[in-house]
Amino acid sequence: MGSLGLYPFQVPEKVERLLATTRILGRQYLRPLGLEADRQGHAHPPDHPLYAMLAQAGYMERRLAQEAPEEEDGDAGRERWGARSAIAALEEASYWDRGMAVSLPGPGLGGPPVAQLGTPEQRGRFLSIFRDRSRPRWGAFGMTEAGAGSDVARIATRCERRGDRWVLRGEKTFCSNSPRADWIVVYATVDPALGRAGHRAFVVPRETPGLGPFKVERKMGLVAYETASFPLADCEVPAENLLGGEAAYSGNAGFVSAMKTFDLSRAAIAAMALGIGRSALDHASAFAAEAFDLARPLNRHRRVAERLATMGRRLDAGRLLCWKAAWLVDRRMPNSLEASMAKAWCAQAALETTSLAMEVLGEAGVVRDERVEKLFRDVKAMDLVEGTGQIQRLVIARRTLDYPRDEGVGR
Amino acid sequence: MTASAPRPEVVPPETPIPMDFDLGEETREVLGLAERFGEGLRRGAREAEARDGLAPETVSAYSGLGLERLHWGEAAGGAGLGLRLKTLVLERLGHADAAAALALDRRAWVLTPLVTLGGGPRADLEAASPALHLDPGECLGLRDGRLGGSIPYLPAARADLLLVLRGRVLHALRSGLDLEAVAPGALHAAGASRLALDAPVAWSRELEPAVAWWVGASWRFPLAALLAGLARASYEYARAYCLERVVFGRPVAHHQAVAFIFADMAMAVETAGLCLEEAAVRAEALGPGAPSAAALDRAWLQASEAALYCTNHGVQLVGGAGYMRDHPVEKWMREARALSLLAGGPDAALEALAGAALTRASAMGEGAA
Ligand SMILES: Cc1cc2nc3c(=O)[nH]c(=O)nc-3n(C[C@H](O)[C@H](O)[C@H](O)COP(=O)(O)OP(=O)(O)OC[C@H]3O[C@@H](n4cnc5c(N)ncnc54)[C@H](O)[C@@H]3O)c2cc1C
Repeated sequence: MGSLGLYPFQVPEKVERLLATTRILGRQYLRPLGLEADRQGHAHPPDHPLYAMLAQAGYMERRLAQEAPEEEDGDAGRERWGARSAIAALEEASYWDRGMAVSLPGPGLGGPPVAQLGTPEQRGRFLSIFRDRSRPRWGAFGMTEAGAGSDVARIATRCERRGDRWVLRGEKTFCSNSPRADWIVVYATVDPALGRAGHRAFVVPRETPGLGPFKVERKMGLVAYETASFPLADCEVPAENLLGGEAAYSGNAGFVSAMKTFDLSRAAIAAMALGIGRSALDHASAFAAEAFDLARPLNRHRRVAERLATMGRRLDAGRLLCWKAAWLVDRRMPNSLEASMAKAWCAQAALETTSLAMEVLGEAGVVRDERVEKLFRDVKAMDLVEGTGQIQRLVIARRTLDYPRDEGVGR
Repeated sequence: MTASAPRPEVVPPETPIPMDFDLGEETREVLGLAERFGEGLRRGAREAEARDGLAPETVSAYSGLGLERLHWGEAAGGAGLGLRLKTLVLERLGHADAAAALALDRRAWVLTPLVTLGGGPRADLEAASPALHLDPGECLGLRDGRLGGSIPYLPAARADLLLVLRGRVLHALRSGLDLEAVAPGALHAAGASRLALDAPVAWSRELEPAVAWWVGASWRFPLAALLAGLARASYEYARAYCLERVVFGRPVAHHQAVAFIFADMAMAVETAGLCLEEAAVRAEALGPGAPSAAALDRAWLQASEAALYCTNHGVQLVGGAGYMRDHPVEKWMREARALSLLAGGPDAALEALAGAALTRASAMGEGAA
């Protein structure tokens, strides 16, 4: 087990090294570039030297291993660490800048459905591009539509089989990294009346005619990566791009693959929220130490100290939830209750933390140069993506109370 | 307390004041005027945010309405219509665009303590861009008649008068106010600056503790009205959206988990509004000093909590779309957080109220002795 003290739980040396590298990357690049993107009001372009540098250094392969892991089964007796190392690294990267962390090249949220639902041929075809170090590449995940977010069963993008091709027609929204993605996993329905059973997942390559144009949304925060809406206007993809092939869609396979993605990704979002919260806590602590003579027993100082203590306590409890959710993944045990708890708790705790950090800074908290103002804007999305806080609570209620399953509540 | 001294059964209430909810015709007319003006502010809110200020026409239209000095006495050039009406007007403007309202009305509320206390030379009341700073911990240094230190943020682009409440002393500065523009995360329309201060004090006045508290509270109080307006704006916007949007077979608002959040938002908005009105009536009835300051700070805390709650949930309930600038809720969430840090923020209000609570508790002890 490692001993660099980069994480509050013992982790293997390999994970310690990953955390140490992430810290260097974060300090040198993610933090300054994240602040710069926020000031400029737009993401850095895909040809930014950082992305090329990371591609050359094999960064995309590493993300591939995290986001679309090959089934680890050999090595009998060796403990799996994939999920835990992923969440530890994501917390660390988000500590430096969550927006930049998401902007880095790799399959992103598109990785898990390809890995889980794709045939071996498809996995090879779509995921192997991330082993090519010659240029940075991105994947994206397109589920949400203007009329269907939490209620994904309502997606209206249609897919229709024509000979050896599928034709996709509709509009996706809030799809992160899509304008620069080499391919996007797009969910569509053969017939909206079938609900989830009608869902199909396709890999739509960037150059497909009818895909786009992309409209980049203007977000409250997280400016360092692009979230965009785009139409699919009679977009034709070869039948081989239907993930898993036709046979895979007996029952709810398409929907289930999308939902399965969430078991790790929910803990991952929770870890990212923790990273943002920890960043706010550290900034507020440093500010307090500099601005106030904390040794003086003033009521005001007491209040500052109490805020800092509350922030730390909430984040520490959240980290345990994340760690357990990831530990269950590593043990190949069901974790949807724990993942939803981690996501619901950490998103809220991190928002509270950034808000309290602004109170510690007082009026200085309004100024953008002070990092916490940005963190406050960034963190709100953590309670919206990958299933909103309300949806997580529904999952928790279902697991703990046998709460009746609303038609289609999945996300 | 000794065993033989019984506790008093009842804590004495605050001084009774008349409190009814009939606004009256004249008030309703003025509020209608404010609401109509507010519609224009709301339409121009994103533009004002982008240009870091208000269009000159907006500024002159506002001064033409005569809402600014509504609550000042006639001797000071005001309309003498009282703090309650003024507070309700500010709530309406906060509902429309709190950042714009801050810019438009700042002058009146910064100068209000001077008008009420009759302090400072007449010229100060003519200041075009007065600003204020609260320094309860005396972080600014006073030496040889100069005030020095750093003020990290002022919601203003310029200042020709700076009033500083440092501890219990009110200082006025008229020169050396070289504001440096900064980029704010919210309230762009009000302007944003920092100030490295080293400037001569024009005059100073030591205040009784109760009056000093009242000055601080009276500066926080108009912000409370804007915060209450923001809370209501966010509540109403999200409510309309969630009654329209259908998920899982019914309007978002009709899912019980959401309906309960709306119920909490509705209570937050209602209590914030009531506390504001009560505080204004109390201040009108009791005048400057601790008894009315407590109500002002209470209203400030209530409004600030309501605004933080309602704007956060406003974004949440509009979902992913709420995080995008196409909807106003994300702007309101930033503004609620920023506004509630101004004029001493929660700590100054809590500190003051905690002091009052201790005084009240020890009054009980004395009653028992
Ligand atoms: C920064 C950002 C990045 C994103 N990136 C992606 C991406 O890459 N790919 C992608 O597909 N999507 C993406 N999204 C979309 C995101 O997944 C959706 O916004 C989210 O699922 C919520 O859906 P919605 O916005 O339609 O809200 P709605 O589903 O309309 O929800 C509105 C409100 O109703 C609540 N609600 C819904 N159902 C219930 C219920 N049954 N009970 C109680 N409350 C309920 C919700 O919690 C929410 O508060 C992104 C969003 C953001 C903000």
